[in-house]
Amino acid sequence: MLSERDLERYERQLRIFGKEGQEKLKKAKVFIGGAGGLGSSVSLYLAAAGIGRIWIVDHGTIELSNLNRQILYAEDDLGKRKSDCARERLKRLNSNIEVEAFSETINEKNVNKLVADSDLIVDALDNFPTRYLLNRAAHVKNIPLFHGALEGFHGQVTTIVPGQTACLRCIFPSAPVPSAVPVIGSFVGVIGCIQATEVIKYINGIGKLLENKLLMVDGLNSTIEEIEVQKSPMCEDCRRG
Amino acid sequence: MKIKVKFFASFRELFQEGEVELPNGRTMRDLLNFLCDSSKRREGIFDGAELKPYLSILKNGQHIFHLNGLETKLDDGDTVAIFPPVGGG
Repeated sequence: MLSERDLERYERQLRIFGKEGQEKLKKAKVFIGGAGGLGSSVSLYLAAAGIGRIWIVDHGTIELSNLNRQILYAEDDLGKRKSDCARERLKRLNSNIEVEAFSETINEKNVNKLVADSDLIVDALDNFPTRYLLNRAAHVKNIPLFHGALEGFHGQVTTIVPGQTACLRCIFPSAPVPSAVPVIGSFVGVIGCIQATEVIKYINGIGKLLENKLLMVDGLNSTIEEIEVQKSPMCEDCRRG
Repeated sequence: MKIKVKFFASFRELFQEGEVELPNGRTMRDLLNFLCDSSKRREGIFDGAELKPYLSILKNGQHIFHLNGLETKLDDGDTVAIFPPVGGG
């Protein structure tokens, strides 16, 4: 049930999807892989929107060079664990939601356990090898996956529904070795906010999702285009389910 | 046959997108060879005779890795999307 405080707090968005929609957000459990640039904007906006349970995982500690884009953190957080600061920041933003934050490295052994029981998975990672683990886990557990990635002014977003859409491996069969890529905070925010908007739309069953569509965002030339993508019958990752 | 070619990310600046006219029965390798008409463009796509690893090359939304690689046959009206990987977050 929404409280009087909830009704006041979410008044502007209740105009869009009503009390029923807000209840759906409150009941939802979202797993966010990564509390860096993408994870910052995704988690802050999902917490603000009233997602009832947010689980966020990142093994890192906060460095000065994170602060140009990782808006979950501030100068007095330097040297602290991202998971601790993310939990505190999200709870400070919205004390009525549950936040669990784990300082872990996502790997083959823990991935299924970490995402278990979540309704949605957000890929806010900074490397493809770990993204592939989330992609597999999403298909094993039949949980939708919201992918975002970027480099410089080029970003991409897609929404993956197991069994129905192209998976990450259908679109990107192999990926380069992870490296520190150039990132501008405002632009990683754009990509994260598109992911968060997809999550809110999915939970409410409204609008058109980026299913079988890879959204290509060019921040430098201010253009957004869709590429139609298809599930591959040959794909090892989503064929097994 | 006419093939619609679209480039994204940094390939936008390197290539010019549009429709390419090729004789019938040609493959993705033929299309890419046609598109790589300068050494700079060639370096963007190829590593010797083979594709640079990790490039996304989609024929009508399917990655050619899941089709027949460079030998994937093209048909009139196909759309090909080509872009380098972005992996940060």
